[in-house]
Amino acid sequence: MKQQLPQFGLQRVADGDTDLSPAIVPLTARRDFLGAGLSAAAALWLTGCAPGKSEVSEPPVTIKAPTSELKAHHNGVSALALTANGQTLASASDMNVKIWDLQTGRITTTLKLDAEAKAMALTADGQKLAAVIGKQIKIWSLAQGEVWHVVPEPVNRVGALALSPDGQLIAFDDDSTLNLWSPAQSRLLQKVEGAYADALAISADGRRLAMHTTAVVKFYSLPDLREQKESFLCGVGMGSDIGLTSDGKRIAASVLLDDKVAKVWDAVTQKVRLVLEGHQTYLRAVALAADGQTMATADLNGVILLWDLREPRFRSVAYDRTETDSKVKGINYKARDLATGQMIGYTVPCSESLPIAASCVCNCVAGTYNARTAQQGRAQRPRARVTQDSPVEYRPLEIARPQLQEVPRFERRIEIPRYEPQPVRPIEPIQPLTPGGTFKKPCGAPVPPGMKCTCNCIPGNF
Amino acid sequence: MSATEAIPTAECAESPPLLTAETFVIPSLAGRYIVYAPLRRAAFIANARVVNFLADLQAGRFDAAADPDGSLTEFLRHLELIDAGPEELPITTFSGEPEPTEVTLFLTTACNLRCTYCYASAGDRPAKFMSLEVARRGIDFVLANAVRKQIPAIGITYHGGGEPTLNWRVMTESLQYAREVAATGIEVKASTASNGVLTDEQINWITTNLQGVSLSFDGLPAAHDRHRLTVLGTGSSERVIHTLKRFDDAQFNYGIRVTVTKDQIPLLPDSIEFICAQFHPARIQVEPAYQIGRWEHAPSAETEEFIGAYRQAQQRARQHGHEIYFSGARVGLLTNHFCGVTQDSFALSPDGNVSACYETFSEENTWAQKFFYGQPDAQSNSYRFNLPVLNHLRQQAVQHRSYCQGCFAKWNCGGDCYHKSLTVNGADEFAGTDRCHIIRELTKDQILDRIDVAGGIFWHEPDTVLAAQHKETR
Repeated sequence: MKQQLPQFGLQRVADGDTDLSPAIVPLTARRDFLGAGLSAAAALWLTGCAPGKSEVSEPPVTIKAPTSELKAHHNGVSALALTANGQTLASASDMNVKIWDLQTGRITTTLKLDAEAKAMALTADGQKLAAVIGKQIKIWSLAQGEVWHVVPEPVNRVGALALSPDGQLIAFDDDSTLNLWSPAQSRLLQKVEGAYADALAISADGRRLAMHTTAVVKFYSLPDLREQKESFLCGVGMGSDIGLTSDGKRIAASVLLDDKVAKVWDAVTQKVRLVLEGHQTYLRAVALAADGQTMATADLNGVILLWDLREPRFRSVAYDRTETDSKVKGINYKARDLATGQMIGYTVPCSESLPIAASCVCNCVAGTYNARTAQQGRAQRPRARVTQDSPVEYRPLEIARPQLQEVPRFERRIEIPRYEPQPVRPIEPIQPLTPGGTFKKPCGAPVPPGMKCTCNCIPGNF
Repeated sequence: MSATEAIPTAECAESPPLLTAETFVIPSLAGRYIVYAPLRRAAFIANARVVNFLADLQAGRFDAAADPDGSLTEFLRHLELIDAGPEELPITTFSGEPEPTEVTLFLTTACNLRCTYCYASAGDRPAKFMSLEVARRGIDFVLANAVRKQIPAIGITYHGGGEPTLNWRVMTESLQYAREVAATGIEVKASTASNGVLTDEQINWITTNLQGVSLSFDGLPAAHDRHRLTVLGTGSSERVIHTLKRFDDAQFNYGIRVTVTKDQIPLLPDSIEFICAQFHPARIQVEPAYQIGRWEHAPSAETEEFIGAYRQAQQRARQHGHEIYFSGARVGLLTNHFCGVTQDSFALSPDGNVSACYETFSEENTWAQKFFYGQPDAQSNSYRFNLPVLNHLRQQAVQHRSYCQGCFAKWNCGGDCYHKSLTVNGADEFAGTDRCHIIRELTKDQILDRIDVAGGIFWHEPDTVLAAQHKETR
């Protein structure tokens, strides 16, 4: 590394052709500085977003989910997507995408892929799924289980994508260019250079795109993809994955790489509103429904937790019994959602408390075993006791041992050898090198009377 | 706006903004620049238009057309780059007779290890041992200074071109002496460097009597044992790991210093993860092996590969809640000094002479004439100082180094190690070393870390460090 005279003092530099006005560049997770520049006005507005600058506010609410080993996938989840109303979830892992009906808690479709899905989006009705697969963006028709459209241009680095509610538009960033593609016309409608996105969401009317880039939320009108410069909201810093509501006012993220908690920001007040705890290992994906009422988080162990952000509360786990060890117990139940009147299926770990007017009849919760059912000789297959007035039904979770090989968890652990003092080696008889001259022997050996040690290994013997 | 277009001069504007921060521009990829104002503790990433706007301001020209709505000006004002009054330089200077209140005792040049990369070549020459009288004289001197300056503490650091604990009697008795003679109200703080090959009795004494230890340990046993050998030629990791476990059991405050040779660079991330997973050091310092002493002719580890491995190691460390650091990269500090060499560091060789440098522990060292600036006064219990030598050392602070003036890291690294610059540049004027490149790259990482933590747009921490600076002029 040849050293030159360092010259980092202020001096004029060559203007790039693409930069027409002064811009402050948000730091992206990739640290490649290719993200869209902010105008100084936006940057100035965002100075209010700096930590420690705002007034004292209420602390965020922490929601804790029970410890769950009920898994949705055998391995870590690479991407999640929710429909705008939060009723359908897509989760990707191990070159599979599972589509979940969150009303019943059941998997409706499983797509087999030839590569891992990196980013995904669903249409409002949950009938179409877009995903980045390798160098391609594909859209599936889930009813048929077939690929409906493939964006012909190969992509390189896609940070996020979004489908319009009707599936007629797909927005995605690639190599820091924001693209708006029409699957029906199979052509690129618009693009914006220098726009790096880590989350995208399209409004319910399909006329506005919200984009989260590091620390800022920006808006674009559709389909002309014009930046609406009058509106900026505070974003969050780097996150391993980020979700965004279509109005841009709520942001969900696993804050930093390898964090086990997810947070939900209010982008208007610039405050963390919710802290979601419950994952036992590092988060790998988050999804926030465009209506801001439902959220999903997924971790390295393949566990997916579902959150109701209205109350807010932990809601359920997405559970696939073929992916879960048979020793792991859980409870399935249905309950009526008071807001919508719909019966919703829930899966929770056995440690979770049960709603009022219901009793668990599985034997996984100490003290809640239904003795009367056992007395009636149905202990081998207990059924839920459903009171007449109760809107709640329960049945024990049937868990079959999956035919899966145990994959040892990666742990970097090195056994430390215990220190044991080494036995003293016998000293070989001293052999004179030259008669009456110098003697050599191992360091540590006693020095004979009348002799002098010329090394310095033994303090005091020099 | 191109450079050839007319720019309204400051005289034309009614109240043109003034650049009031020493501002550096670090080119990055794709026409982006890190704008860094170290003394304002501010940084952000910008395009060329912003850089040129600032450069024009520095030249006394205000390009109003480049900021039609005034928002850029307001943004820069918010970060105190403009219209914020003069900056206070983080410069401390020393003059006259030194009055240290901390003493470093080079207890011995003997060592029970024969590390391949030892900067001191310990064991290659007959060993020297400091006498208790030499140690007492140094302690008396700093104690008298503390009393005169009304400073309620003195510091004793045991160091040297060998393993200090091999002069065990002087180490323990000198500290006992200091505590006995220290007046009521004066605290004696003591620490040592060590290779970690200690007996249980020594560990017990250290954890009871010292405030801290800097312990040399290279991480993975295979990495450690390749270079840190005993006099018998066997690895020393078992002994050091035993010491570390004992320190952890005692919840003792210690730091680990990891030395990286060129061949060990690929192992650095794993070594750091090993340390973080197994032990609980308060600090982890990582340094490429110095090409001096026994390692003088070995391949340099001050390479791009080292920087890459360091970055990976930092990521691993953070996953365990730790942070590693390199001696010259320290954005959190604003100073004109790298170490005590330019701040009247008071270190005694085994023979009792005064050196300013830990790496110049003996009168026989190559650059001893540059760093030995005092000797015991035969007429008193004090020392006679060679002020020309001392003043020359004081002149090595970063504000006097012309090479450093254009470097964005200068107020953080303080001009780096004078001894190492001598080994690279000789006695000529400092002209940079490979360490400078490492310092700049890792300092840049720290700047970006701060922008990231601050929300990703800019970093600005006013009113913190400058207030803590002690401007000392005697």
